[in-house]
Amino acid sequence: MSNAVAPPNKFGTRGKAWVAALSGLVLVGLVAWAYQLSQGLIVTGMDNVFSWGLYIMLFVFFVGLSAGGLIISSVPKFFHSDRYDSIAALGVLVSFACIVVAGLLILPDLGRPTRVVGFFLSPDFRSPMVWDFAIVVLYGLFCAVYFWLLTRRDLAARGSRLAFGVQDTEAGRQRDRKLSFWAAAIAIPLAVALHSVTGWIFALQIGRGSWFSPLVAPMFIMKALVSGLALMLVTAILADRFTRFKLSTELVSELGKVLGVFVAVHIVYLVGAERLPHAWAANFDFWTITSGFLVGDTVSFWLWTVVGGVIPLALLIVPSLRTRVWAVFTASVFAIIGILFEGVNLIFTGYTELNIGAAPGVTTGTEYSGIGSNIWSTVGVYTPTVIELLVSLGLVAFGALILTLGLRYFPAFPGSALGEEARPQSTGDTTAADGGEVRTDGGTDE
Amino acid sequence: MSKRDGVTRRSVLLSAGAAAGVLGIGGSNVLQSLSDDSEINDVERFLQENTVVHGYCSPNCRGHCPLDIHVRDGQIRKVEPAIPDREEFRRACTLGQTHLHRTYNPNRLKYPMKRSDWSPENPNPQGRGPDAEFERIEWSEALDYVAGEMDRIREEYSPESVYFELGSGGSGINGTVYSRLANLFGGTMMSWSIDINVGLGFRRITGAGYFNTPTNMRTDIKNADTILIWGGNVFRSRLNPDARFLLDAIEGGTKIVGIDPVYNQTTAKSDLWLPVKPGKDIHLVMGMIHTVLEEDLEDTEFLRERTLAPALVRTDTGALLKTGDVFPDGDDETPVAYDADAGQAVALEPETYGEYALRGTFEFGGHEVRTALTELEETASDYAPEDIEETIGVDADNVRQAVRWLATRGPGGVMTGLGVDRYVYGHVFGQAYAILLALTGDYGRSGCVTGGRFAGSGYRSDYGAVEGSPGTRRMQQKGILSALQGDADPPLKMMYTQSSNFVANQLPDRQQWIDSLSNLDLVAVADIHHTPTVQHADIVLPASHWTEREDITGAGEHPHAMYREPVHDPLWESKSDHWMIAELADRLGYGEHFERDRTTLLRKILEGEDRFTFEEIREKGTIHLETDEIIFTDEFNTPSGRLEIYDEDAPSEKGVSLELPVPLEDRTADDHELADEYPLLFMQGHSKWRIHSQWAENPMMREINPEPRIDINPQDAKERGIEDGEYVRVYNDRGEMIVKAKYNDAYRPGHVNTDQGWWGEHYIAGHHNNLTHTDVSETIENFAFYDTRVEIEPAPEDLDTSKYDDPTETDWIDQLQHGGDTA
Amino acid sequence: MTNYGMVIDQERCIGCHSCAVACKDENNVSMGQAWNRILTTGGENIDTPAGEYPVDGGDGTLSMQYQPTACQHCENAPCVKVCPVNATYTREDGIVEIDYDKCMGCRYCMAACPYNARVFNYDKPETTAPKGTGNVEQRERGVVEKCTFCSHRLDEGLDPACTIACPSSARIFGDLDDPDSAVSRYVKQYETTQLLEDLETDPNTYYIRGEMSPGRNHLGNEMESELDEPPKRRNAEPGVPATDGGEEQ
Repeated sequence: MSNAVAPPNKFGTRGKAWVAALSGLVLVGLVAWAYQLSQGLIVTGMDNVFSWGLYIMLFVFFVGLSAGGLIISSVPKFFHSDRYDSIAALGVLVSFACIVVAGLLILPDLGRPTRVVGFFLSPDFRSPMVWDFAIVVLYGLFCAVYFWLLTRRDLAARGSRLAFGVQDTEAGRQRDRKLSFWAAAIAIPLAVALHSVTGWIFALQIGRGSWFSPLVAPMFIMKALVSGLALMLVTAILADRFTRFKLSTELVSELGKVLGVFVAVHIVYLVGAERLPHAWAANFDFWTITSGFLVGDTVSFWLWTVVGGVIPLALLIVPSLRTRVWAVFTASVFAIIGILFEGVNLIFTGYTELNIGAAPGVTTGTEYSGIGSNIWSTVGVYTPTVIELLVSLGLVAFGALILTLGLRYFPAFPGSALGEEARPQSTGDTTAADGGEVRTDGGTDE
Repeated sequence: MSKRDGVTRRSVLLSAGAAAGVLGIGGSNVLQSLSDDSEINDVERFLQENTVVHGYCSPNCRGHCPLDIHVRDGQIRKVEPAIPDREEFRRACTLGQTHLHRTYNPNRLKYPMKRSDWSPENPNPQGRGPDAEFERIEWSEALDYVAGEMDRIREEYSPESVYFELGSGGSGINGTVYSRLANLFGGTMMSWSIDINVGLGFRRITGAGYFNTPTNMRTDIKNADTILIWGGNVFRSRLNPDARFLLDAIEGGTKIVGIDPVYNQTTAKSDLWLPVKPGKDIHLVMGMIHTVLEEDLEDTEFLRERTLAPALVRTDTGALLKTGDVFPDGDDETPVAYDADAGQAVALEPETYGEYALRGTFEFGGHEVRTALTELEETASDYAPEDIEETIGVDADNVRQAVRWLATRGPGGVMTGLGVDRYVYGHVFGQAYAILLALTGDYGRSGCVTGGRFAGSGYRSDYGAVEGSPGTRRMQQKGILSALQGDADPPLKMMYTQSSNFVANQLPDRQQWIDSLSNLDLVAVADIHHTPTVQHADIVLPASHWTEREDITGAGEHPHAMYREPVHDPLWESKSDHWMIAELADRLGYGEHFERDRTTLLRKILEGEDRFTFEEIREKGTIHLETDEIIFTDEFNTPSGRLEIYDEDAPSEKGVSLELPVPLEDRTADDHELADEYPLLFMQGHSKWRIHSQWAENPMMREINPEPRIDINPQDAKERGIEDGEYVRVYNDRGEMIVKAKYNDAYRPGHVNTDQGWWGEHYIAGHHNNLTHTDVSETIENFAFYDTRVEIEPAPEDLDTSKYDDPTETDWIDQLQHGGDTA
Repeated sequence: MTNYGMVIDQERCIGCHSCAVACKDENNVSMGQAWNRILTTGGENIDTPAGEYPVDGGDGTLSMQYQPTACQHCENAPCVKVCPVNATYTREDGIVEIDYDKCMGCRYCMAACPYNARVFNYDKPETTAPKGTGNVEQRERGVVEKCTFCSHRLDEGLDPACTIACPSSARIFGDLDDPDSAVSRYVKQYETTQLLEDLETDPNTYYIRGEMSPGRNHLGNEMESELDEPPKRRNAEPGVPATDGGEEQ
C-alpha cells in the first residue's frame, strides 16, 4: 500500500487532457468576458425588464451546490462521529470550488466591475447583497481553511510545503479532530446563514411577485442540501471512477437515502407548503384547488419538480434501486438539474410579469437600433446569449479545475497519505459504514 | 434677441457643465461644417453662451405655439413652451417640444440635388419614385435648372403651365415671398380641397366658416355649460397644446358630450358619449333639432331676434316671402315675418326683436306661407331619436339627454373636429349643426361654442403681390389633378413645390397623382426633410429648418404676433425658402422686387403694422394683439343679416335641394354598392405623433409609435382570422396597404382606422391613400378621406417585415455629428 | 424639512407624452430608454380602451386612462435599501437619486423596484445632441439611471421639466411637508392613490382619480415655493390677483 502513500504529482494523459480542456474553457470564458467588457452588457440577453439572467441564476445555483460538502463533512464531526470521514475533505473541497464559482459569477454580471470596491468603500448595511457578499467571502475563506485543516497532517506526511510547517503527529491529529469539531460548529450555522442570506436577496423584494415569501430562506437551505449532497455524490462517484479514490456502495446507498429525504422535504413538503395557500385561496372547488396546487405553468417548474423531484424520488425510494450506484448517480444528476431549474424558475417568476404591465410597457434598453425599432415590452423575455454561456462555462470550468487540482495536490481522501490509517473494510453494516478507502490498484487513474 | 435678462437663473443652470462641453462640441463636425461657411456664422455668436432664443412652431396645426429654444454651444438642447405676452397662452404639444430632433434629423436634406437621370433635354419622368437616385449639385446649378425650365415652359406653353404648389408645411414669410413670385410670374396656384366642407356648409347659415368653423377664443371655453365635441378627438389632434382650457371647463362643471364613432381621449373625458355610426352625423343633428322643437327647448327670443326662424316661406315655390311680395314699397331681398301682436306681416330686419310668429301657416299676398321654423320642424319630424336609433347607432334617451343639456344648462355649443368634414356630404352637417345652435341660441355670447376654429389674430401687412403682377390662375386641388393629367388649358408642365408633401403622400387616390407627374418636365421640391414627394423630384432644394430661420407669424388661433430668432446658420447647405425665391427671381428678371436681407424684409413686411414695431416683437418674441374673445356679436354676414336657418339659395345634391338639411351619404350608406365587397369603413384620424406628414421621421415620436397600424375591433379581426399585432392586407378596388393589426375596442365593428401622415416607405407595402378616392360632392370640392370602404385579410406569408422586426443597425446619431461629410 | 413630491391628475392627463419627451431632452436620456412612460390603463395596446364597444348605442363601458409612470420617489424605497454600495440614496429632501460614480451596475435596484422605473445602460447612451442635451451629466455605459425629479432644476428653483411641458396642467410638484403647498392640499382634498399601495413603499408620487383637480398651470418655470404669491388660479385674467385653485370658486 506504500505506493498509495507517495504524493501523486503527475497527471496521466487523460488527466492532462482534462486539465487542458478545462483551462481552455477558462480561457475562452475570459475572452468572452473581455468581449463583454468591451461591448457592455448589451451582448447579454438581459434587458431592463429581465435585468438578471444566467449569471445570477448560476450564482444562486452554485451557492446552493456549495452547501452539501461542507454540511456532510461537518455534521458528523459536530457529533464527534467519524461517519462520512472518507469524503469529508472532498466535500469541503467541492464546497470551496462551488463558492468560488458563485462569487466570481457576480463579476461578469456587473455593469462596471471596477466599482465593486464600493462593497468596502461605501457599503450600505441594509442591503442583503452586502450581507451576502460578506457571507460568501467568509464562507469561501472558511472552506479553504477547513479544507487545509482536514488535510494538513496528510500534507505534512507527504512533506508538502502546503502544510506550512505543520507536523504530522498523532497529537496533532488528535488536536485537529478537536479543531474539526469547532470548525463544524462554525460551519453549520455559516452554511445556514449563507443560504438564508442568499435567499433573502430575493425574499426581501416586494416588487417581484412570488419572491417575497418567508419560505424562501428555508427553501434555499433545503435546495442547497439537495443540490449540495447530490453534487457530493456525483463528485464522489466520479472520483471513484476516475481517481484512486474508492467509494463504498453502502455509503452511496446511505447518502442516496439522505438525498431522498432532502428531495422529499424540498419538493414535496416545501413546494407544497408554498403553493397550497395560494392555490387554496385563489380557487374554490376541490379539483381546481388541487390542480392549482399541483400543476405548474412553466417549463422550468416542470423541470424542477419532475426532473428534480419525482424522478430522483422514484429512484431513491426503492431500496433495491438505491443500492445501485447508477441509480443514485442518476438521481443525483437529476436532482442537480432540477435545482438548477428551480433557480431559473425563481428568476423567471420574478421578471416575466410586470407589476404594472400596461402598454406600451417598459423600455427594454437594448432594442434601439434606429427609427422603427420597437423598444417596449410588457413582459419579460430572456434567452442567454452565447457570450453569457461561454463566460459561465468558463467559470464552471474554473471550479472544476479547482476541484481537479485540489484532488491532485491535496490528500483529499482519508488514508491517501498514510495507508495504515485505512479504515476497516466495509462490513455491509451501514451503521458502521464510513465507506471510503483508497484503492490499492491505483484505480483507473493513469 | 435672446432673453438674457429674463432667464438668469436658467442661464446659471445651463452653464453647469458648459466649460467641459465647449471643446467637445467645438470639435464636432456639425459645427465644423458650419464654420466652413465663410458668411456670418451665427454659431460663433452663440459659442460659449447659454441662451434662450425666441422660437415658435410652424406646421399646419394652427397652434403656432411660442417656444423657448434653449441653445448652448451653438446647438439646440431643449425646447420648452415659452411664456407669451399674454401668459395664459403658454402652450406647446409633444411635437413642438421635439424640435431638437427635427432640426438634427438624419432625414434632413443636406445639399441641392438633381435626379441622376433628369436633364432639361431628357426629363425621363419614369425615373421618379422610390428607386430614383440623386446626385449632389451646386446651388447655382440647381437654381439655373429651375429658372431655366420656368423660362422655357413660359415660352413654349404659358406661364400658367408652371404650377407653384405651396403646401402647409411652414408658416412664416416663406409663403408670402413664394406667392409674390408666383403672382409676378403668372403661374398656377392651388386652392384647398381639404377641410372646407363643414366650414362652407356652416357658412351658408352664418356667413362665416371656411377651414372648419369659427368660435370664440379658447379662454372663453370655461364659460360654456355644455359642449358637444363632434367628430374630433380634440385632446389628441386639435386642443392638445392647450388641453387645459377645455380641462378647466370640465373641472369647473361644463358637461361634455362626446359625439364620435370612436372612443378616444376626448370621449373618455366626456360626461356622455354618443357612439354615432360613421357618416350618420347629419341624421343625428336632425334628431337633435327634432328634439329641441318637440320638447319646446328652443330659445324663442334668440330665434326672433337673430334668425330667419320667423321668416315666411312660400309653400308654392319654397322661396322666402319678401317685402316686395307683401308691401308696395317692399324689395325682393328683405324677408317677411308675421308679427303676432300687430297681427300683420312685417319686414324682418337683422338684429331686431319682434313678437314674430315662430310657427304657423299664413296667407299673404295670395301666397300660402309657413314660418321657416315650421318648415324645419316638418323636415325634422322624420328624425325623432327613437325612430333613427337603428340608423345612427345611438340610444335615443342619450340623444335627448345631450339636447336637454345643451338647450337648458346655459351657453354652450358644438366644438367641431374635422372628422365629419372628411365625408362627401360633410357640408350638410355644417348647415345642420349651425341651425341646431341657432335653435338653442348659442351665438354671440360668452360661453358659446360654435365650432372648432378659435379666435386669434395676426399681424397687419401691406406686403404681398407686386402691383401690376399678372396674378395666378387658381384651381382647387381636384382641378389641379386634372391639369396635371393634361386636362386643362394650358396644361401644367412643371411644378415648384414648397413646404408640401402633397402629391406623393397626402392626397387621396395617391397613385393617380404620382402617375400624373409623368406629364411634367420638371418637378422641383423645396423641403426640409426627404419626404416621399422629394423622392419624386427632379431638382431637390434643401430648405433650412424653422429653427434656423428668422421669421414672423401671426398666431392664428391665439391673440399674438410672434418672432423667431434663428438658433444658428442653416445646417449643411440648406437655405431658407426666401433665399431660394430671391435667387430664382433674380434669374427670372424679378430681382428688384425681392429683398435679400432677411431682417430688412421682415421690417418691410411689418411696415403696415401700427400696433407694434419690429424692434418690440424682436425683443419680446410675442406681442399680444387685442382680439375679440366673443364672435358673432354683430349682424351676421348673410343676405338677411340673420342666421339663415332656411337657406333660400341652397344648392342641390343628388337632386335634393338643401334649403333645409337633409341627411345624405356616399360610401357610408349601408346599401352602398360597395358595401358587400368592402364592408369596412376606413378612416385615417389625425394622430398625436405627427402634424399631417411632418414629424414622421422624428426619432422621439417613432420610439413611441414605431410603425403604422390599423385599429380594428377584435370582433372584426377574429372573423377574418387576424391576430393582434399580425400584418394584414387592407385593400379595395383602388389599392392596398400592408400594416400591423391593432386590436382596439374603441372602434365600432365595421369601422377601421390607420392614422394619416405615415409615409409610403413606412408601410411594408402600399399606402393608406392608395385606398382613398377623389370623389367630391356637387356643391363643394372637398376630398372625402373617411368616406372609404375596404376589406381586410391576413397579409401574405412571404412579407419582408425586416424594417420593423429587425431594423438595420444604424449609427445615424454618430453620422449626424459628421453631417457635413455625408450625402 | 422639505419632502418633495408630485401629484399627477389622471383625470387631466390626455396621454400626449409631452412630459416624457421633455424628460428625455432635459436629462439626455438615451434613445431606446425612458425614465418617464405614459401607460394606457385600458386595453392591451397603447391608446386603447378596456371593455366592449357599445353597439347597442348606449354610453357603454369602455374605459381608458393614462398613467404617467416614472420613479415614484418612495419614502420606503426598496431600491435604496438594496443598493450595496450606497449609489442609490435618499436625499434630505426626499428625492431618490443615484450617484453614478458609485454605481457598479449590479441592477439589484431594478430587481427591487416594483414600478420598473429604472433603466440600465446596457450600451453606451446615445442622444441626438452629440454630447447629450447636457443639462445633466452624461451617464456611462453600465450604470442604472432613472427620474431625479429634475433635482438639478430644483436646485435652481425651477420646477421639473415634465411639469412645465404638460399642456394639461396635470402635473403638480411641491413640498409634501408644507401643508399649504398645492401637492399637500391636493393629496388631502382629492381622491389620491399611490401606485401599488399595498407594497408599502409609500411613494411621494400621488395620482388623482375620480374628481378632476385644477392642476397647476405653469405661467412661469419657478417652483411653487419660489413664488412670492401662490400660483395663479388657472384662467385668471392677467393682472387679477388669483388664488391657486385648491378650492372651487
